[in-house]
Amino acid sequence: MGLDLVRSRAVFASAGLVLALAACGGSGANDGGQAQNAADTTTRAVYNDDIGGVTQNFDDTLKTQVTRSEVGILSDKMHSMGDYQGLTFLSSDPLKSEYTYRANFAKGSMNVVLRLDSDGKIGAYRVLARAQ
Amino acid sequence: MNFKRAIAGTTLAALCATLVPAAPALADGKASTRNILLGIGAATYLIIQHNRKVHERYAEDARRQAELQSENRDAWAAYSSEKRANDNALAEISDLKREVAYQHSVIVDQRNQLAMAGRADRTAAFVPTPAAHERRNRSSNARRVARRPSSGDVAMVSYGWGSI
Repeated sequence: MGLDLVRSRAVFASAGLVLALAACGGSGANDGGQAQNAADTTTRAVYNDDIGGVTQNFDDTLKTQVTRSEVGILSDKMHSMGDYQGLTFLSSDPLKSEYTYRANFAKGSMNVVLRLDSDGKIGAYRVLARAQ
Repeated sequence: MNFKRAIAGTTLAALCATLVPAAPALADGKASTRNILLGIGAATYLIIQHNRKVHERYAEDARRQAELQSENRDAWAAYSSEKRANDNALAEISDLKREVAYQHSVIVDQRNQLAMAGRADRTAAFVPTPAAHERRNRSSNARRVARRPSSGDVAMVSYGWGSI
C-alpha cells in the first residue's frame, strides 16, 4: 500500500514535471512565433513604405520615434536588394526578449533584430545592413 | 614733302615779289609776261593747296569711318564674346544648382541615417561590425543560437528604432 502510494506520487510528480516542461516549451515557441510574425509584418511594412503597418506592433514609446522619411530611407535600402523573400530565424535571447532574423532579399540579406515588451509589443526594431 | 615745301617756298617768294613796288613800267612785254606767269603760279599753288586740304579731309573722314566701323565690329565681337561667356556661366550655374541639389539630398539622407543611428547609439545599439555582434552573443549564456551570423570583417550599419 505504501509502495503504491509512493509510486502514484512519483507518477503524478513526473506527469506534473512533464506538463511544466511542455508548458515552458510551448510558451517559448509561442513567443518565438509571435516575434517572427511581428518581425515579418514590420519588415514587410518597411519594405512597402507603409508607416502605419510599421508602427502597428510598436509600443507607444517607439511609435513616437518613427518618421515617414526614415521609413522611406530604410525602404529604399531594402528595395536596393531586390524582392523581399521572408525571414529566417538566427538567434534569440529569451532573457531580453530579443530575436534576430535574417531578412532575405533577391540580391542579398539584412539582419533584423527586435525586442518584444512583456505585453507582446515591439520595443525595438533594428535592421543591420552592410555599410556601403 | 620737301618737294612740296620747295614749291611752296618758291611760290611764296613769287608772291612777295609781287608786293615789291614794281619798277616803273617800261611798258615792255617781258614784265607783263612775268606778271602773268607769277599770277598763274600763285593760282596753281592755291588750287593745289585746296585740293590737298580736301583730300586730307576726305582721308580723315575715311579713316574716321574706318575707325568707327572697326569700333563697331569690335563692340559686336565683344558683345558676342560676352554673350557666350554669359551663356557658359548660366550653364555652369545650372550644373552647380544640380550638384548642390544632389549634395543636399545626400546630406539629408546621411542626416536621417545619423538620426536613426543616434537614437540607438545612446544604448550602444549601433553595431559597427559583426565581431561586436558575436561578442555580444558569447557574453550571453542564455542565448540560443540556431545559426551563426556570417563572419567577416564587414562594417555594418544599423537602421531602425529603439535600442537593442
